[in-house]
Amino acid sequence: MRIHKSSAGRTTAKLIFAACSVIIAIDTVPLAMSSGSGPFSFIHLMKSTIRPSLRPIGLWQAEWRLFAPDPVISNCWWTIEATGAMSKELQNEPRPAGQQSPQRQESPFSWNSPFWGEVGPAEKFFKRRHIAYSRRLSEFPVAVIEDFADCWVRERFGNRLHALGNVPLENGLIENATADVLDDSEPCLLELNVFRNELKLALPDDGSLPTREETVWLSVTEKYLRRRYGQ
Amino acid sequence: MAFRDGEVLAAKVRSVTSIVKRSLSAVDTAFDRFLFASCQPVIGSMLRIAIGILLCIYAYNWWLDGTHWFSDAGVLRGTTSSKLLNGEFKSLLVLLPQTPAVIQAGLLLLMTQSVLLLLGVWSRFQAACVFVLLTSFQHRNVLIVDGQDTVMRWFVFIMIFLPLDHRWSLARAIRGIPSLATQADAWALRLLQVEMTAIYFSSAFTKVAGHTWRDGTALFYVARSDDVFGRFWLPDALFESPGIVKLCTWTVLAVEIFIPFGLWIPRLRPVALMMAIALHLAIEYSMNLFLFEWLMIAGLISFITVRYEAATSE
Repeated sequence: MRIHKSSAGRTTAKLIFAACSVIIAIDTVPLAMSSGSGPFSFIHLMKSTIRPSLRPIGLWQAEWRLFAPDPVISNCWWTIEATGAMSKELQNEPRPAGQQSPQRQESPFSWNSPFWGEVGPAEKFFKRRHIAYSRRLSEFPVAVIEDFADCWVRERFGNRLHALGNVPLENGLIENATADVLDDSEPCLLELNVFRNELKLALPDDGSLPTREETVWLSVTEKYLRRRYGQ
Repeated sequence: MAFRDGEVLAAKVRSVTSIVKRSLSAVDTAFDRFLFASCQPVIGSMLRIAIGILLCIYAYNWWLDGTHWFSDAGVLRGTTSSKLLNGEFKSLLVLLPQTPAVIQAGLLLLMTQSVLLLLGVWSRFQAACVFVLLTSFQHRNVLIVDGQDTVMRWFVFIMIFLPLDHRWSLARAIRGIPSLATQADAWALRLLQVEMTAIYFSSAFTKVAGHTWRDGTALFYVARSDDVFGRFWLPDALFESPGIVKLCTWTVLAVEIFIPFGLWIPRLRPVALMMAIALHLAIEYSMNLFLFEWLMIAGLISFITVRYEAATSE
């Protein structure tokens, strides 16, 4: 589009500029400012009005929340424990880089996703998407973790196994409403237990900032899925 | 009497109308100058090269694990993705079988068009296609998407309206056709400036709402995020002494608040640009955030003025 003086092109350009500027301005107002009462509640209303129209066409803005409003420490990794007849085939699997603990030879077979704190900068650069995935997996419905487990099984057993469904969790940590209903009619050859592990920072009671050596990390493990597979 | 009152009223209305018309005309002229007479087309070409390089790296990074992230054989099935997004985010991929071969072909197309954009071969067409592809892939797996993906998508969208092939264009060099682009054609640089300002503004004011940024301890927590922090060596003491942590945290906050305002004040713009670049390079040195810092530095190109261009072709 060549822009000539007094041409229709100028009017079009002005309209595009004005529309996009308004979209950007409204959609990037921090949620902390735009929610609640006061003058920003109007912006919040505008934001919730225009977002549904922007999302399908890819013109939505992200929440610019890099370490904001407060930094969230997410030193996490995922563990899959496999039991059942087919888990014996996994015993010779090479350990992935950055794996936390020595591979146990006895059942259950245990696999850990990389602990990114121990991975070098070059690998972190190329595996940036893996880090984001590991961090965000727990924020989504259980169906996403089912897909993660199914992919893990597919990478090791090809299409020899298929999911029979989920066993309800004892601790009820996750919403199981959308989970597969367990099919008991087929024999279970493999059962996966999927855990999320996280190192949480324990701050001293006096509020001081500990040195790296003095820092106390609390390891927290939560079970997210128990899923069975058959042939 | 009533007739005279009516005349006076009509005169007043004419006067007000005239003032409003003159004001609107002045605003329109100023807006015209702002949009069509103050941006250099060569900046569009510089942006094309900077964003093009980053786009090639970005697309290649996706292509390495494309099957894993975007196909039905990967970590997120198409059906799960569709349910997850409730139909709010559209993707061309839902119209295709999401097999590894189709995904690889799609990513290969994205890489090819990114290279053509970098080289300046029908760049605006490439930018439009890349925008559609980026949106489709980002919407296919939102688990792996973050702020830098939004920046990339918006930058590419804005590039659709820029004279990208004004300089250093392979297509123009082969055909031997000089660019006729003028300042008026580079109006979309203003849009890029608005986007950059909005990002800095939003980021700074979201931080102001956080108590760790206000009490000056935020960078201590950042330094303990082992998955992203600690790219290259930094002295531990920097993040262990409360005084230094507070100084660093508040400096970052002050710089982030200053940048969106400083970029729009001509006399402060060079300072704001230098501070912004220093901030991004410092984050790039200390953290593993993939391309985010380089994308932001590329976006800052929209705020610079090139004297060479003004002297030679405009």
